Parts: sequence; structure tokens; C-alpha cells
Amino acid sequence: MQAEPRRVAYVAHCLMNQNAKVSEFAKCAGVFSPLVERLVKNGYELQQLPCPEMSHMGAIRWWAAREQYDTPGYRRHCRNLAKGVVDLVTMHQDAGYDVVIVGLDGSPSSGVRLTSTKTSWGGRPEGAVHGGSDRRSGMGVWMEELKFEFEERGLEFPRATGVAMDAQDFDLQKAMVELDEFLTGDKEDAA
Amino acid sequence: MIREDLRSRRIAVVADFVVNPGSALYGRRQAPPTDFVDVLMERGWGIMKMPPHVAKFESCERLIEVSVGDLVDYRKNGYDVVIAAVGDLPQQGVWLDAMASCYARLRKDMPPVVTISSDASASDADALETALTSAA
Repeated sequence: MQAEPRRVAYVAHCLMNQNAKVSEFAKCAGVFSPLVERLVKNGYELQQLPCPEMSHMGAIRWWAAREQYDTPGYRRHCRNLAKGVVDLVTMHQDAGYDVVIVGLDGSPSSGVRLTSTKTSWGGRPEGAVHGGSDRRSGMGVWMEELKFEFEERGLEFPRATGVAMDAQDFDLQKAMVELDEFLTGDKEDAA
Repeated sequence: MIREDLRSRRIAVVADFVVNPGSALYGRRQAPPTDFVDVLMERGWGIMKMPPHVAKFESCERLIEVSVGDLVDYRKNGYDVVIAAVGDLPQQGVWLDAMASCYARLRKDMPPVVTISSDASASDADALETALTSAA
């Protein structure tokens, strides 16, 4: 009888620590338990990605759209973090693990399928008071740099999806159905 | 419209081993899961999980450094932070010496460190709460 494959999920930092969210975006106290419970139930170990927004701009950062994070300096910061992450992913793969990534859809940094956009933001910050950023398909800057690091090492970017907690129309029930499909392999690479 | 923000403003720094005690990375040290992390989740702690202590330091160095930077910033802004060091693991499972070096470089004090065992349970989660009370 063949043993069950070992599985590990690298999850966006804030899915295990909502304190890292930009103000007004924490949807629970600490750990987003619907995700963690599903991962454990499906036999996944948990790894937590760093939050480059937190380490770049801190806990009291302003809201920002992808365009504001899309700078060479921020990308360099993300790439430095990506090197350590890809080393750890490789360590898991060498130990026989199937690796998946669960990002945060709608995020300017951690989005996998969906990111944010607001080309008019910049300068005097009160513009954000009159409405949040918009959403568009595509990866956030952090996920993109992580993917580039895999590619530059000649490695395949793991199967990835995102939980759309940063989307204005976030639907928990729908998101969990999608996640279940992804985790059980019914839905191939959502990225 | 101001959106409701539900963050707890408290963070527990935990070892990979207490989150993934059955990991193949731990070879013969593998252990069954305990309720420690479940209790932290139920009580609203945010978790900052450090890289596995069995990983190469060179792979983890930058990740440890940014983790400490985040923790310094959290405390500067009034968040509570406790490090749950695992007494019977190398580097206390959380890269504690490396974290201490980062704090020293930044000239910042370490947050409270609570020593738990590798089979930590709900009572160890109580100790984290106590450490916050004592530090207040």
C-alpha cells in the first residue's frame, strides 16, 4: 500500500496573524481558523510566509494599491525574502512533500488570482477615505517576486490559490468551497 | 465608512515544531499534535511561526531578521508580543539566539519569553497570558 503523500501549505502571513493587516482589514482576531482547520483536515502541514508590507511599512502603514508597491525597492525587499522561502520550499520538496501556496486574493502584495489597483492614489492620503482600491486579475507584487525566484532557479512555481479576504465582496462560504476544491485537487492550479 | 477591524493586537511567536510536530523534517523526534496551537487560535492570538529549527541558518537568517523587525514595530505601536520558547529543542525551536542578536543590533529589548515544552498544551497557553499580565 502506498503511503499518503506528505503535504505542506505555505500560507500568506496574515492568514495566521490578522494583526499584520493594514488598518480596517482584520476580519478576525488572530488566526483565520476556517482556512487552518481545512488545511489540517486535508493533511497539510502549515508554513507561514513573511509579510513584506509589514516589514517594509510597518503596522501603521496607509492603505496602498499595487501600483504604489510596484517599485524596484519594494521588489528587491520581496526578492530578498523570497530567497529564504524558496530554500525552505526546496527543503520540503527534498523531503518528499507536495507544496501548495495559499495567498490573499485582492492584496496588492499577496494576491495570487486577484490583486488591487488604484492608479490615482499617491500623495495626500485622504483620497482613500472616499473609497478603497479596485480589484483586477493578476498577482500581487510579493507573489510575483516569489514566482520569479522559483523561475530563476529553474523550479516550478507550486500550485497556488488565494483566499479573497481583501476583496470588497468577500464571500466566506464561496471562498471555502473553492478552497476545498483546490485542496482536494479537484481544481488544478488556480493561479 | 470605517470598517470593523477585529485584530486582537497580540502575537505569539511559536516554533515550527509545535505547529507541525509530526513533520517528516523532525525524523525520530516526530510527535503527535497537542492542543496548544488550537487554544492559541481559540483565544485570538495571532501566530508568528518561525522557520523550522532544523533548516539551514543561511536560509532563515533574513526571515528571522524581518520577523524581529515586525515584532519591534508591533510593540512600538502597543501590540502585545510573547515568545513561546521550547525548552527541549535546539535554539528553543524559535531561533532564539538569532532573534536575540537581531534585538541587540536594533538596541531593543526582547519581549517576554515563556519557556514551554515540545508537548505544550492548554496550560502552556495560560502561561503566555500570565506573561502578558506580568509584563504590563
